[in-house]
Amino acid sequence: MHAFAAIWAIGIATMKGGLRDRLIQSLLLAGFFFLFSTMVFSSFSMRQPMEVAINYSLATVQILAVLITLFLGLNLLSREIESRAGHGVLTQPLSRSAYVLGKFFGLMLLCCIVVAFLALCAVIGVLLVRAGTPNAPLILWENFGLSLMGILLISLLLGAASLLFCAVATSAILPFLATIAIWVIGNSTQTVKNYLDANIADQAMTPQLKAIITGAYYVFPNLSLLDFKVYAIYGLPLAAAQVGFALTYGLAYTIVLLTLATRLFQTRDML
Amino acid sequence: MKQLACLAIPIGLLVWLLVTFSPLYKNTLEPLRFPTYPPTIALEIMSLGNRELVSTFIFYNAQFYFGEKYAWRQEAPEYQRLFVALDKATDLDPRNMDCYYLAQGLFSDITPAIPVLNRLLEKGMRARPTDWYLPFFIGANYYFQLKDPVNAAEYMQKAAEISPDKDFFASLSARMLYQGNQTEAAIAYLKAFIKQTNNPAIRAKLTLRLHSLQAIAFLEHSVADFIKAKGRLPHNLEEVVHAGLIDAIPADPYGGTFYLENSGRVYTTSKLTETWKDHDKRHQDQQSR
Repeated sequence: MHAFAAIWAIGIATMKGGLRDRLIQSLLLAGFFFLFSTMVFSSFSMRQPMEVAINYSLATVQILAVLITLFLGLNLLSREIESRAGHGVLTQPLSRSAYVLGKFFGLMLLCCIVVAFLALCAVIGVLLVRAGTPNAPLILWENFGLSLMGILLISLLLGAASLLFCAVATSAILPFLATIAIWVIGNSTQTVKNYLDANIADQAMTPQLKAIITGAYYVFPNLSLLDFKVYAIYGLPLAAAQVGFALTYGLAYTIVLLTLATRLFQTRDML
Repeated sequence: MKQLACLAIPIGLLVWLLVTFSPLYKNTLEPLRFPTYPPTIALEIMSLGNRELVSTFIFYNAQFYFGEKYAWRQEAPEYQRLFVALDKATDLDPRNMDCYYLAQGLFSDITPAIPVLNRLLEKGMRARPTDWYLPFFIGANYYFQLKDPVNAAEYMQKAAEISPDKDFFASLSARMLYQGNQTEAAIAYLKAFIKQTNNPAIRAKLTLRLHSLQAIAFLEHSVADFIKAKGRLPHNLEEVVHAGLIDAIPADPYGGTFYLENSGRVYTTSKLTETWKDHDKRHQDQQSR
């Protein structure tokens, strides 16, 4: 089988499997209700209901997109490898790298569908709030779209990390927990680095600890770079160079993780 | 039949529990305490990339706590904890205008809190350079609480530069700097603040102050009329009533008594500050009515 055809076939099968997953369906339904609750949530704001509405809807999309990616990684990849359900596919004349890339392609399609669905709910929620807000500030939809793009990239990066851990782990829960750890660390490295740079913690931290934190800052993905929510919430100007750098960083990191996952899966003992 | 009984018995039990214990619960309220939040760096890490949302949650918590404590339970709120929480919320999201608005509403009449309140508002000014409310608030705090018209004028000037309503600031600054009429200036400031406030508890707090100031303005006008008519300052406010210029001295909504100073200005024994004893009395009066 041609490699691209194999990747396509595995990707479509993974996507269909994901859409059939009851857990994913219930999370999407929860997202639907959350986003329509935007009106209630923003109504408690004293001065900035529009900003609160955008903040709430984008944060909901981000949290749900990440949760869905984590569960997709658990249900569609880890469990399949652990239960050896995927071994049948691997007996076909296709390379292991095509299998990994196919799985990622499927995950990518699912993430796109999930983010697009949640984004639609978010836009409707925000428009409903705008309709009920006199003198509503101008919404920068291009920043809103870029925030969604950032959320999609975060999901893809975590999906690739999940695949990498699946390639080496022997239990299904380990990649799930390791990906959660990457999510938490990825959101914290910039904060901790800023804290270090501000020299607030000079007295409390040993040089070794500082070196570890600085190392972690460069090794782990910096998910704060892909977070454009604040620009959408307050309609702040966003430099094209900053967007270009962040998107390239996210894509490059995802490709690195995917390459490592492919290499490690090739050397994995499947018996 | 058995299944019906299995369902009816626990439902009956639940109804009995609700009917019996709901009034008991209503009358024995747990003490309401405002939480102490972890340090800002911990909040940032725990927010998992949603600092703005956590900041909004802290603001909502502060707002609901104040509403329940001040307006419903009629108890003294824990102002210090509220301030620390709003400071942390604005560290997480320095553009969160709701926090600055609530802080101004809560602390602008507590003179010892003004220096820290102004520092908080300065943080907002740096993050929201086009928002005229922030320099307007700082200017008002300097003028009314710290009695510093020079700094007040500087901030009012900054607010005027970015406000679309230049006339309002021109008239307010004139009242502050040239006419020296603090009461009129305070009424104009409070009206502008109340106009933009949709929180009922904050609105009630500010309206109480506005009503008191309007009563003072009314009395000061009647004293001016008395001077015009008699060519001298009245000995006290009762003399203005006896002269037939006003029907009666209005009541101070804070529970104090209005009196006339030798300068011709009207003051109140309450110093426009709500004591919680007065608050309790007002609450009891409302209850008995």
